Amino acid sequence: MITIDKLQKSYGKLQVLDNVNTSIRTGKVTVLIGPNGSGKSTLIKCILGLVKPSSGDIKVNDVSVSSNYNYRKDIGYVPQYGHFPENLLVKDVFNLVLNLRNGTGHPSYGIDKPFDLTTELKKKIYSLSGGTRQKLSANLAFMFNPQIYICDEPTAGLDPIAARTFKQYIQQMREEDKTILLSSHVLSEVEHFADDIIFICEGRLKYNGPLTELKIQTNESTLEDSIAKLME
Amino acid sequence: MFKLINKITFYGIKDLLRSRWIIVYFIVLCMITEGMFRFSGHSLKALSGMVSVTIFLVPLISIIFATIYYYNSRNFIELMLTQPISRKSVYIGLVSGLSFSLSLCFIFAISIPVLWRFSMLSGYWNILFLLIFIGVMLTLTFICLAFWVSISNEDKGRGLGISLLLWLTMAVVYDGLVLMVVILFQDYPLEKPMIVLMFSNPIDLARVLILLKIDVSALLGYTGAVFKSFFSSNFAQITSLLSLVAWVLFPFYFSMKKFKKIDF
Amino acid sequence: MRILRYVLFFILFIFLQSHSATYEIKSTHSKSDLKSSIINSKPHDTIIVHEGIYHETNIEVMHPLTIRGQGKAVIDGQGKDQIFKITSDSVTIENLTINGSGVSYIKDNAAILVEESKFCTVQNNILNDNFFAIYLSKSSNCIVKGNEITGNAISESSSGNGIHAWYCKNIEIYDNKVSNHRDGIYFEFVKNSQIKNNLSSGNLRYGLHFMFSDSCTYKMNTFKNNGAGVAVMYSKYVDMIENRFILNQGSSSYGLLLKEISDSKIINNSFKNNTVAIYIEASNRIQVDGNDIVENGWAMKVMSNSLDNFITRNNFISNSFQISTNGRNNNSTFSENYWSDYSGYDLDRDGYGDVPFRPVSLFAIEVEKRPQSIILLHSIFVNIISTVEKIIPTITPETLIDDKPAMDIIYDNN
Ligand SMILES: Nc1ncnc2c1ncn2[C@@H]1O[C@H](COP(=O)(O)OP(=O)(O)OP(=O)(O)O)[C@@H](O)[C@H]1O
Ligand SMILES: [Mg+2]
Repeated sequence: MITIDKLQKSYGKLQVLDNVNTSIRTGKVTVLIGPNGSGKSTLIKCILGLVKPSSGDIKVNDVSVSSNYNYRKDIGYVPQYGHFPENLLVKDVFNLVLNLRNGTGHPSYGIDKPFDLTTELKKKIYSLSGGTRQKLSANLAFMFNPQIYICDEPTAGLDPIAARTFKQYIQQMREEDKTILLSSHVLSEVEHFADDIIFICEGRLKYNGPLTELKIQTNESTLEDSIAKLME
Repeated sequence: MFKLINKITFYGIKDLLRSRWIIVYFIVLCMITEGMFRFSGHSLKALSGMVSVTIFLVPLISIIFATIYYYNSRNFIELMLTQPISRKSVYIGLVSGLSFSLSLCFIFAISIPVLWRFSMLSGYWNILFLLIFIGVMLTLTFICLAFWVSISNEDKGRGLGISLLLWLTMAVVYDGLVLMVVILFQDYPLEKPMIVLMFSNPIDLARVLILLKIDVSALLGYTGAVFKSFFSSNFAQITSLLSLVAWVLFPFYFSMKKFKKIDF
Repeated sequence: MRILRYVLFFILFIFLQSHSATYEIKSTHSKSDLKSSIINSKPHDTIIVHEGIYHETNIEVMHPLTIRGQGKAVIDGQGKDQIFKITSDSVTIENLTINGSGVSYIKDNAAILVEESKFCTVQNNILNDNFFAIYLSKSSNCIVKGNEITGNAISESSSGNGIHAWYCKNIEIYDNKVSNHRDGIYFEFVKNSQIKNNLSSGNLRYGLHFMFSDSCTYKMNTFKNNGAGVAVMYSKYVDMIENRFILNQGSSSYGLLLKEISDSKIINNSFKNNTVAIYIEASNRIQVDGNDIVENGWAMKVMSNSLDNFITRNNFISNSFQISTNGRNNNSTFSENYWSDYSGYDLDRDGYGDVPFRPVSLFAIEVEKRPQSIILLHSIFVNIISTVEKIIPTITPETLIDDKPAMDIIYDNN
């Protein structure tokens, strides 16, 4: 359970998140949607503690994220753009993260789940393709079998097969009652997974609730139309 | 937490000692020291030459190196921050990794040429140790200042520019201004403000600390009472030593505070 | 004729020997024993003072005599008056310990005063806590040798000098150790005398204070840690050779201060850790050659009222400032010196740099004008402007250059 309370974030004069109140349910898939630059990534980073909110509070399992870092133990995070030390080998990155996490979890686990990266292990990070980077991010997130998955456009750079594999994994995690927060622009994907939808536009929460309710509320038959309606 | 910091530190050292630039820094410094001792023919002369080199080069190299290192480590930092690791640990780990590497580099570069001149240094060991001390302190201070600049500026080019400007100001311009103050206000009692001005700049402070050892004969020629008691007292030496340490701790602390607040 | 003189002298010697008596003084004897023995003695007698403490003052020696201590014979003036006053020629005082001549503001009370006498010898005595220790006045051909002189000077006005010579000729002062007096050794109106192999240290004012004394030599002495160093003033033909000037530090302290000196030599001395190693004011034709001037605040301050001095073949090493001066004129010659901060080259390999060296830095002049700027010594800024000034001189004296700077330390000194 993640609760977000009166969250505000601005970069200088630019108000990126404006009074966001919501909660993400345990054991459900919540999909975060909204136009480019609406603040999705910012919101996610706030949860991770990468971005410090201007005001408001975020609690992960009732622990406020502002004064804590241990809650990240329970979070697997797939960033929109994975950042890794560029001159390390892929193998080294696994070892590094493992080492920083005190070695709980085991490396072979990360290397083939959800993607098989055995052939990439000896490559330097800077030589990886965008998609492979994305895969690496995903593997690192899954490595420690966390309770919560937070994925920022995880399939954006993946080929269709890889995207399918990933989605299958998410499905599997949902069946294992994990909490999942995704952002995505691919509506088919959204429809496929989502229990709940959070829709933000220009930093403001436009809709927050079950996917099914959204269509009813907007009185549209497709998700696309519902969103278009919300945007009006 | 300490275990984690150690890991990050160790990782940083391993990463840095492989770096080409740190090896270049080591070799250049080592060669300068060797050259000083070989061609000056007199240990004190060599040491005082090394003081000038240290005061000039160490802050410059440290601030540039640390600035670049910070920006190059941003990915590593972001990766770590997605893990259950506090920002404090990340920060301390980074700073200490860099500090260890650059300090070790400095200490060895100075000591190795000295090792096979053991006898030449008799009577000057205290100055050598003081030199190493100020070198290390300046390294740490300028690493922390570099971090402060880089943390405050997201853009690498801008950060590097500001770092260089900061160095130029502290190393050169500052003393020019002090000299101007001396000339403009020569009819006023300036000794106390001067001492304050010296304490307000770690490079000057380090220099004065060495002056108290190497050039005390000249300093004792000064007639003013405040300087005189300052130059001849142990109190002065101890306060300057402590202030130099403070010049490490303050930038360290303030950039840590900054680091805890910024967005990635 | 000459042989005859020797023979005569020999006979006289034998005669004197056979007729001189030896008196023995012991501390158990009554108080005035020493004095009465002196009075009762014949010229050229010897008085042996045995181990013990004798409280005596105002002991006058008026005819030739040897007074010799045996064991630890202490004459204690208890801080009152004069102790020995010698008014006769050929008096020898040796092996005694003489303490406590009295501090006085009107009389120069000394442990041993030699007044208007010749051929006196003061040797191997230990002189503690005296106002003046050895005082030679209007005397000549005297020897002061091997004495250990320790004062208890606290302020200049309430203390006297260790060895004081006034209006003397042909004096030899050697192998003495003098400390804690006002001036260690003091010369005023002394001619043709030698000061050799003494150690003068920790004196309040000068290690050697030397005025109006022409044609003297001081050689192989060590002057260490004295309040204001060594001062040599108003004299001609002074030879200063192979002395060591060490640790004379303070705001008006000098290794060696020269004022109105002419036709003199400063050769093969060593100067270390002094505030100003050599200060030259209104002095002419001085030859400064072969000295080691190391780790001083200022190696030399040459005031521009000095003329025709020759500063050659010295080692100037690691001084905070090499040369400083007070004007743009220079009338002295610097040549063939080694300067540790010289950075020129020697393409023709003759051992001398091909570019002249300017030993006066811009910053030295700045410090001369505004002493408080000394705190910027060795700063990067100062180094930069000094380097620029060296290349394009605008403020430093143009003629003050060493045209032939040595490439290496000159080792044939000392
Ligand atoms: N470090 C930053 N400094 C200043 N502005 C920022 C910063 N990071 C993000 N922004 C601004 O915040 C706003 C929200 O950005 P954010 O990345 O959260 O959008 P997003 O919803 O994730 O968009 P996309 O769908 O393109 O990923 C944008 O206007 C962006 O320009
Ligand atoms: Mg985004």
